[in-house]
Amino acid sequence: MTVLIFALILFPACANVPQAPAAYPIAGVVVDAVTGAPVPRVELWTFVKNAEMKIIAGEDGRFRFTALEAGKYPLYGQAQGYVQEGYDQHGAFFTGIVVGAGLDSEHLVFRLHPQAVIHGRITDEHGDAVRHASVRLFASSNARGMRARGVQLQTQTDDLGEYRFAHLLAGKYYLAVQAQPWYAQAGLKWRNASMQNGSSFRRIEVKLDPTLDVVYPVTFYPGVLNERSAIELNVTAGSREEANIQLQAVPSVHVILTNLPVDEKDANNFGVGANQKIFGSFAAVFPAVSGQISPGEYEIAGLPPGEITFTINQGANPQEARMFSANVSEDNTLDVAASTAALANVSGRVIQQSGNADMQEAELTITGKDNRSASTKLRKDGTFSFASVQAGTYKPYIALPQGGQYVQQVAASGAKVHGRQVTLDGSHEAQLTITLARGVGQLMGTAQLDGKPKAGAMVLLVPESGENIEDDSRMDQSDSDGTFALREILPGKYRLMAIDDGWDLEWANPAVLKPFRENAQIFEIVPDGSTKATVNVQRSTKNTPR
Amino acid sequence: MLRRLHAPVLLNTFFALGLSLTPSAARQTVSERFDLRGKVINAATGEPVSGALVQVSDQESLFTQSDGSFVFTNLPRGQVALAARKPGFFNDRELGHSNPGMFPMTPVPFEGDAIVKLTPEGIIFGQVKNENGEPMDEVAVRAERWQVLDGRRQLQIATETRTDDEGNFRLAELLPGNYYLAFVPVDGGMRNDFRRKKQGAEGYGLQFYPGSPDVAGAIVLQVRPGTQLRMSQMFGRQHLFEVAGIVSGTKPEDPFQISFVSSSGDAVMRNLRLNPKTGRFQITGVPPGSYMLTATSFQRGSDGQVSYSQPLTAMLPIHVSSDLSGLVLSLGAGISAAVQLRDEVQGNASPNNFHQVVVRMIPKEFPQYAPAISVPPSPDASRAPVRIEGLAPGTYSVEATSTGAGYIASLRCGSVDLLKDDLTIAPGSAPPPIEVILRNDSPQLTVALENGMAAGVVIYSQEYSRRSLAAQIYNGTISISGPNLAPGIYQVFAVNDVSELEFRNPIAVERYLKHAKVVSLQPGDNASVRVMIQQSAESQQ
Repeated sequence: MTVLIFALILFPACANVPQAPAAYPIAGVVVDAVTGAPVPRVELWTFVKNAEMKIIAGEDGRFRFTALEAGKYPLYGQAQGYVQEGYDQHGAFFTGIVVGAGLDSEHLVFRLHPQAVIHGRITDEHGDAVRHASVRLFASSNARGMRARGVQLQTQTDDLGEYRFAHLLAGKYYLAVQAQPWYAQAGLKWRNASMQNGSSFRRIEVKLDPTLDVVYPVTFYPGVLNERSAIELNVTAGSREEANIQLQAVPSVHVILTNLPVDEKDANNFGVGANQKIFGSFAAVFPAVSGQISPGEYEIAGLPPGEITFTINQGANPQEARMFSANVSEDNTLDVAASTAALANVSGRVIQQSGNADMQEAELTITGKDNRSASTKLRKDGTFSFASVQAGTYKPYIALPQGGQYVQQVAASGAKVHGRQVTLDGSHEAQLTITLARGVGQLMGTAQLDGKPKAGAMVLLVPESGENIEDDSRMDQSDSDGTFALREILPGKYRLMAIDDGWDLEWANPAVLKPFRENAQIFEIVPDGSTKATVNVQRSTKNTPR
Repeated sequence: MLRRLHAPVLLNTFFALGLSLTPSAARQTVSERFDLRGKVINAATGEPVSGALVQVSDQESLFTQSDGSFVFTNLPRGQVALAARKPGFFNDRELGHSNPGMFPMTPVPFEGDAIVKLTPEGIIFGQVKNENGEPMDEVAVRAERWQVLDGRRQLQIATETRTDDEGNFRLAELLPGNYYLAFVPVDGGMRNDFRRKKQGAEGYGLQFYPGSPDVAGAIVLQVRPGTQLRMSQMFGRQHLFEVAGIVSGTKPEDPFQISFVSSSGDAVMRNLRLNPKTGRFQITGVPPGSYMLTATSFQRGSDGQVSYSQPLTAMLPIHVSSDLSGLVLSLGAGISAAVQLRDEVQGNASPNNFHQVVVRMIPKEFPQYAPAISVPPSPDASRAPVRIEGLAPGTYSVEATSTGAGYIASLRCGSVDLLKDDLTIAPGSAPPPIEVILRNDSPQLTVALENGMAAGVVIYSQEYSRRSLAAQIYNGTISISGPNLAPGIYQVFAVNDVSELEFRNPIAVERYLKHAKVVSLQPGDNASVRVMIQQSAESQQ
C-alpha cells in the first residue's frame, strides 16, 4: 500500500452502499524493532473516512482500535525516541491492515524502530562556532531501484554552531555544509572605466580587502571539499553519531562572463545564478553577487573554487535560461557563447491515436538532465513550439486536464530518437511527432509464500524489454491479507515478481534482477484492462539487517 | 567612549573630505600619518572581545587581538567612523542607539585608546515537557516583546524556534529587553483515549510561560546584556473543544474555504472537516481561547470562470470555552458600511493630483483582520459612496489615511466622532454612512531643540490622540506640515529616545506633558516652538 501523507479535509461524496456493520478491530502490540521489548504509550493513528482516529497504546505496548467497518486501513505509530513510521514501512510503501469477516487483524506486531540521531558542531578555522550554517543530510536510498543519494533533511546551526538530525532510520548518511564567513563582504572587483562616450570600455580593477573577500566552499563530512572524499556515516537503529566539521575560508573567486547576448531594449533584463551539484542530485545555490561591467560582459563574485554550474537568465521566460558548467579556480574569464550548448527551436505536433480530447488545455513538457524542463500549451490542432531549447536529451510528458492519455511514441526529424527520448544537438530546428495513446492498465492480486498469503512482500513489475525501467516499472508492498495493487501501467509486456525483503536490492540493475526474473510470470497489460494474478514470493538472497 | 560631536558635522562632508585626500592633494597639506589604537570591550563585563571585526569609515578592517586591541596605521588627520561587530554581540547601531545620518566620530589623532563597546546577546534556552515529565518535540517556541509601532503597543515575535526530539530549544541573538515566552505545539497534540469512559478530547494548546493561555497571565523574562536564562516549561493537558456550524449563501459549484485563526495568529487547521455540498463544517481539538472564523467564497463570473478578485467573505469572532455548535457564517449577508468622501482640498485639482483616502475598520480583538477600502477606488470612479461588506457585529476602531495631498479633517459615523471614539456595530443593524472630510489647509509647525541636536519629538493632541505624531530630529530642528498635521491644539515635547514611547496613549505621555509647550494651530498657520529634551523613562539601558 502506498502511503497517504496527511488527512484530507473533504467528506467523500456519499455512495449508496449498504453499510456493513462496524464491528471489526485492529489490535496488537508495539515492540522495539531492535530489542523486541514492548514500547509503552505509543501514539497510533489511522484514517476512517478521511478523518484521523488516534489512540494511545498501554504501558504493555498493547493497542486496540474498535468498531471499524470492513476495509483496508493505514496504521502509523509514533513515540518519543523512535522514528515515526507506517506499519512495516519501506520507503514510500507500507503494509495496509485489511479487516473484515474471516480476517485476523488482532495479532499485529508493530515493530517501531528506535531513532538514530546525527548531531555535531560546525566551527571555523579559529575553532569558533559558525552560526546559521546550512547543514544538509543526504540519505543513501534505493527508491527507483538504483543507489542514489538525496537530501533527506536540512537544518541551520544555532548560536553554538550545533545542529541535530533526529528521528532517523538506520542507514548510510552523508553531510554537506554551506555557510558564509560572518565577516565576509562580497564585492565586485571590476569596474567600467569609460563613462563619457560609451563606445570604448576598459576594465579597471577595484581593490577589495582580501580579509573580507572570502568564502567557505561547500564542505563534506569529515571536512573535505571533494564529494568523492566524503565519508559516509553508517548509522544503526538507536545510535547517536557525532559529526563535527571545520570550515576553512578561501579567497573568493571572481568570474568574468563575456560574450553574453546583449538585450538592446533592456540592459537590466538579466540574471545570473551559480550553483554546485552535490551527489548528482542537489543544487547548492550560492548567494553570489553579480553586476555588469560593460554590455555583454558581467562579473560574478562570491564564489568558491570548484565545479560550478552557471545559469544565465535573459528575458522574462525562465525556460530560456541557459546553463553551463565550468571548473573555476582563480579569477576566470568564461566565454558564454562558447560554453553554452547551442539553442534551437523545437516544434511539432501531438497526435491522439484514439479519442478526441480537446488539445487546447493540454500541456506538453520536455524534461532533460538536471531537471531542466520546458513546458508549453498545445494549440487547438495539437501543434506546439518551443523557442531556444538547449541541446541535450529530453523526455516528453503530456498533461491533459481530463487525464487518461500518455506518450506512447516519439518520432523526429532533425533530432535522434531512442525509445521515448529525443536528443537535440541544437544546430538545427527539430520537428517532433508525439503520439498519444489512451488507456492504462492495472494488475491486482495476492502474494503467496508456501501457499499462504504473505504480507509485506515487495511486488515488482518491470518491462519485459528492459527499456524505460525507471519510468514504466511499478511497485507495491503486499498488505496484511497478501493483496497488492499496481495501477497506471502503460500497455505492454511485463514481468511480475514478488521478493521477500527485497527492499535493498538495486533492481534497476539487470544483473541484480536476473535470478528473480527467471521465476517471474510474464503479463500482457492491455489498455483499460484489469488483470488478476497470484505471485509466489521469492526469498531475497541478501539478508540486510534493519 | 566615543566622543559625540556637538558641532553640526554632516556625514557627507566627512566622506568628501576623506576621499579627497589622494596623494596629489596631500602634497598641499602636511602629510602627517597617525596610528589609531583602541580596544573592543564587552559592554556588560568590561572584558576584552577578541576576534571582533573593526572597521574604519567603511575602508580598512582588522580583527582584534586576544586582548581586544586593534591598531590602524597610516591614517590621515581628520575624523573617522569607527565600528565593530562580532556574532553574539550587538553594536550601537544594532541596538538602535545611534541615529542614521548622525554617526559618532573619532578624531585622528586620538589620545589614548579608542574604546568600542559591544553588547553581548541574551539567550533563553531550556526544555519543554508534558505532564508526565516526557519531553515534547515539535513545539514552536517564540520570544515575544511589546514594541511600539506607530504609537501603538503591539506584541511582536522577536525570534522563534522549535523544540528538538529531546524537547530542548535555544533562542539566541536577543536584544536586551523584556520578553514573554510562547509555546505552541505544532500538531495540537490531540489525543483520543478510547479506553476512557468520558469521550472528552484533551490535548495541548498555546501557552505562555509559565502556563497561561494568554499574555495577561504570563510572566515577563528580563533579558539583560549577556544573560543566559534557562527555562523549563511544563505543559498541562487542557480540555479541547469542538466548533461546528454551517456556511450559508454559497452555491454548490463555487469553491469556498474556511480559516480558523486564534488571536495570537496561529491557525487551527489540522482537524477541520468541511462538506462542500452542504456547507457544514466541524473543527475539533480546539483549545479554549478567542478565535476568528472566516469563510471565503470565490464566485464564478458570467464567463463561468472563477474570479479571485471579488471574494465574498463572512467573519465571526468567537470565544471558545465549551463545545459550540450551530454557528452560521452567512456569505454576502454581513453588515455593510457605506463610506463617503467629501473632498475639500483646494487648488491643484489636476488629474495628477488624485485625492484618495483609505479607510480601515479594525476589530478590537483581531486587529490583523481589518478590512480596508479606498475612496474613491480609482481616479475615474463615480462619486457614489462605496461600501465595506461582510462586517461582523462588534467594536471597531476606524482609521482613515490620506494617500496623497490633504489631511483627514473629520471622520464621523452618524453622531460618533471616529477620530476619538470606537464604533460599535450591533447584530442585525446597519450603521449610518461613514463620512470623511479631506482638506489641505494644513498648518506648518517648526520645532527647535533648546539643549541638543538629536532627540525624538512628540506632537500630542489631547482631544484626538490618534492625531498625535512623533518624529526624529537630527540637526536641532524639524518642520512638520501636512498631510499628517491637522489644525488643532497640541502639546509639544522632546525626549531623548522616542522609539519605545506609546505617543498616542494618554497614560504613557502624561509625565512629559508638564514640561510640554502648548501650541494652537489654525488652518494655514505657520508656527514655531522651542522645547527642552526630557529623559525618557522607556529607554532600555
